[in-house]
Amino acid sequence: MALFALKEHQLDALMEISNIGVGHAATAFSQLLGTRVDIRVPDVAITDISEVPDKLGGADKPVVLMFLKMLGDAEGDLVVIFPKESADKMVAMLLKQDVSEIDIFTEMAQSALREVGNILASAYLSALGSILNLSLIPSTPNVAYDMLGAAIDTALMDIGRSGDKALMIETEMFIKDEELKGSFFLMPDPASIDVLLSILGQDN
Amino acid sequence: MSEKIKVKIADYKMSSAPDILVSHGLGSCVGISLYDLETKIGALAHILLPSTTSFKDNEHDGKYADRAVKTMFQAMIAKGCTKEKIVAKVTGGAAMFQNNFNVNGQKLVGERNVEAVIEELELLCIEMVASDTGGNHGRTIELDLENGEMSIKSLRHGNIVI
Repeated sequence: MALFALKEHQLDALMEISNIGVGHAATAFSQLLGTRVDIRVPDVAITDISEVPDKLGGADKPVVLMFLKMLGDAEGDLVVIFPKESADKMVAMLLKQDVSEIDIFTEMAQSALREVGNILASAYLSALGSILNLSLIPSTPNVAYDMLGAAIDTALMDIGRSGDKALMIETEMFIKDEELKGSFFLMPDPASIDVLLSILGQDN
Repeated sequence: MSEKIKVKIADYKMSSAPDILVSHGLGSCVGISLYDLETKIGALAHILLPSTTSFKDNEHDGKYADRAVKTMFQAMIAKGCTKEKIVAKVTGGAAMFQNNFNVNGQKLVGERNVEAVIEELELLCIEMVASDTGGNHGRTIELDLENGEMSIKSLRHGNIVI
């Protein structure tokens, strides 16, 4: 399936399943942090790989980026991005410390971030898997604190091997009072887009 | 007037003094610059992968190490640069994650990107005058076409000029 051949209703279907996935991830996140977590209406786009960093907020922006492989019946990359300030607040909430005391490079903070990555990805993929009746498993999470462009390029390499375009399904979750937000990006491998669409019964 | 020209991922740009070529957020990607001090013409690519593997759906000349170096070299010669005067600087090629995925005996892709660039430079007999590669941090680079200096910024490892 060439990406440019995707029809609007197929993109809508992909967006809807991601919405449900992030809904489950937000519930898990809410239980973890003990506060209300909302999600924003998702967005789906077919983007040239050279535009991906700008689309995510700019290649220079300091972020904490969690990168996992979606494995199993459909494969792809799952990326969760927290702006640096949001990641600091999140770690402070998890470790019950003041945000000014947080050093994101301590073993404790890194471990907390990996755990968050694990929980979010597992909740997201298990929701997707049960809607689609597929077995979807997250790899162990990789966490980087760096410029967005630098942290995302490993994911772009996987996509870039088979073409110039990436299918990006974006959903944001946020905690209103804390000004904390994180964005989910699911980028299915080109071969797995067919798998997803055939199950959604949207190929006509 | 000096202009800052942005080079996006999988892309390359060529210009001349007093312009500055900029590329933001290189991780395991490699920034490769070619520069001729005599004409003050230079080019910068932000390459993503080591070598051209497939010819379908590949619109970007700056995406692969081999094609990017060759394309920039030819473009500079077409602009009037002398082959022997063109020198190269190479940066990037970091390993951004501790447990990268291709660990089973394979070299990491950042390292392979750097090697592929160097191989292509050797093939075209272009001298590499400076490099800053590897590590586990991102880099933002600026190539000043007035003098060929490349400044490298990072979030955690300070700034250097090569």
